[in-house]
Amino acid sequence: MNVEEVNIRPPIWLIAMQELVASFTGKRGLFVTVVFILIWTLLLFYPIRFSAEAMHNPDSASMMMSLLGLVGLEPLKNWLLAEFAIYWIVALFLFPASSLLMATDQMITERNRGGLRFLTLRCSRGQIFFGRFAGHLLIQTCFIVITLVITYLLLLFNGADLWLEGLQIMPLLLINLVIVVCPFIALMSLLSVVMNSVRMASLMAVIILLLGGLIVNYAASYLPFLSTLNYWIPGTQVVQMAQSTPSIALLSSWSPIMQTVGFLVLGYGLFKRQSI
Amino acid sequence: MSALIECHELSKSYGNKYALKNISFEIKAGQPIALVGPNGAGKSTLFGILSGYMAATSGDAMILGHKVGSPELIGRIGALPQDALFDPNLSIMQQLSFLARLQGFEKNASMKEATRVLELMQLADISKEKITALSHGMKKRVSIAQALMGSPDLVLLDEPTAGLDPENARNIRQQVMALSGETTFVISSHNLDELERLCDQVLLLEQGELKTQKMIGLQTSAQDISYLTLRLQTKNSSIESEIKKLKSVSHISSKQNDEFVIGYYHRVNTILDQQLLQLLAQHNIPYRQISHGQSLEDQLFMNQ
Repeated sequence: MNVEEVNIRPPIWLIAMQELVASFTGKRGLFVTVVFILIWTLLLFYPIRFSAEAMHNPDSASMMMSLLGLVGLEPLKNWLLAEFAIYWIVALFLFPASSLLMATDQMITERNRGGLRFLTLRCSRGQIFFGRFAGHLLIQTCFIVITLVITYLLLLFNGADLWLEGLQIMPLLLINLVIVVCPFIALMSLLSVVMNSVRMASLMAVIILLLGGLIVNYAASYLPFLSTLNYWIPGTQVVQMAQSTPSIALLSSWSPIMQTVGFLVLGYGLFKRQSI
Repeated sequence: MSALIECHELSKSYGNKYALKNISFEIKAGQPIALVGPNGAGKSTLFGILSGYMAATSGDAMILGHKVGSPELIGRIGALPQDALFDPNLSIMQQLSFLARLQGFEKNASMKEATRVLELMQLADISKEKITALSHGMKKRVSIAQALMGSPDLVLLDEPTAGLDPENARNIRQQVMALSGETTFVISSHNLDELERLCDQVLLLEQGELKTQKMIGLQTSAQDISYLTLRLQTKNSSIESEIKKLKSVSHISSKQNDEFVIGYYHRVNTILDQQLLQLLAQHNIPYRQISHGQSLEDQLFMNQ
């Protein structure tokens, strides 16, 4: 191989970029992307825009505030930027869901097809595992950035005087949301190693997220130390985050970061020993 | 020369069942090596361990002086895995150039490398196709092409010509022969004629155990008996007794009366082949082939 032909990009980056390409060329990836675009188009141009307009309008603002108080989102009243306040609530719940959907099949189909065998002779298993995780994190980050920019445009459209405040809050929202989706993608990285079918991995994720809390609390009533398992259920902090501002919400980042590291270490440990 | 592959007491078990049982062998770089054995003998398991697809239950496997799975081996081994398929959503060029980039090629060079290996497999015109548009044989040739990328030191081919038409099987044999100087091939196949033509060393696996490791057709000075293999155009049972009468012949084994393996003392008679030709001419018996030595099949299975 000639010296000038040597590629300086690390394999982990190449794998992440390939994951990005593969996610949008597969039927599943295309389907989820189309659904994502449709949902966000509807959300941005109807609930978010109308809610923001209602919060701006002195006539409907009081009704809007009492409505927020009813659903436990009273702190949103303190937000200066109504568009981003509504976006914050919607994004906190929708991005984890979309990251779960898109990151389900990080390796399962490829492992069953034998395709991973073409990769393992050219890069380490660690590069494959973490590269796939990084690829999906990149996909979600792109989606978050796109929706943030559209929300910002909506803000400018409704009233250009708060353009600077909008620019200032965007990085904070981005960091918060990226941290929120991390454990969901990492959980799917782990389940991609453990489960043999995409359907089973999705089902297991739903069981962990929806029934995990109930199961842990029931088990903890007999064995109290098991209550610590609640810390390992992704998204338990999301409701609390929705009730606070992004800068305060950042303080609860330790939980998703700990979950992400835990899932990734466990997933990589298993993948390293797995027959492919 | 240091060993290319070294296996020491290598075992792999699935529960109570052993797929490989305490295998030890050493292979040096050079001419292609054949790996033969019946179905379930452990050939694919051995390839899987050497390629790092699975871990051995016990024992050690080293390639080029490094433990299997070491980062030092990345890009130095190529493999045709059995039943592995490419991504159906991406083109052949996209996938091969991506694999080349993982091996360290720059973007443009990776496309050139992908084109080069596809040309070797006579598949340059399908580079923009997706794998689902190809026949079984073409898919296999694409998989072989990926194994040759970056000119690795060692290429493991698991049944490379199974399911291929004769012309493409011949092309693969020619490529293996042409590349043998720079790359050592280890080939697993049930086609013993093909292996005999390509390889100079054979490893025979049976029920997870290494039964034989030998040079193909090598006559050692210690051996008194040499062999001639005679293939007739038509069956003839009477010629066997005539051959037995020739000087120095020790024994004959016949396969359906049209192929005879003749064992003889070569120190006693160095011109038995010429005498055999004369005998056939006298009896007006047309022959297809006379060759020195035994076929690989006979070498492996006749004395068992």
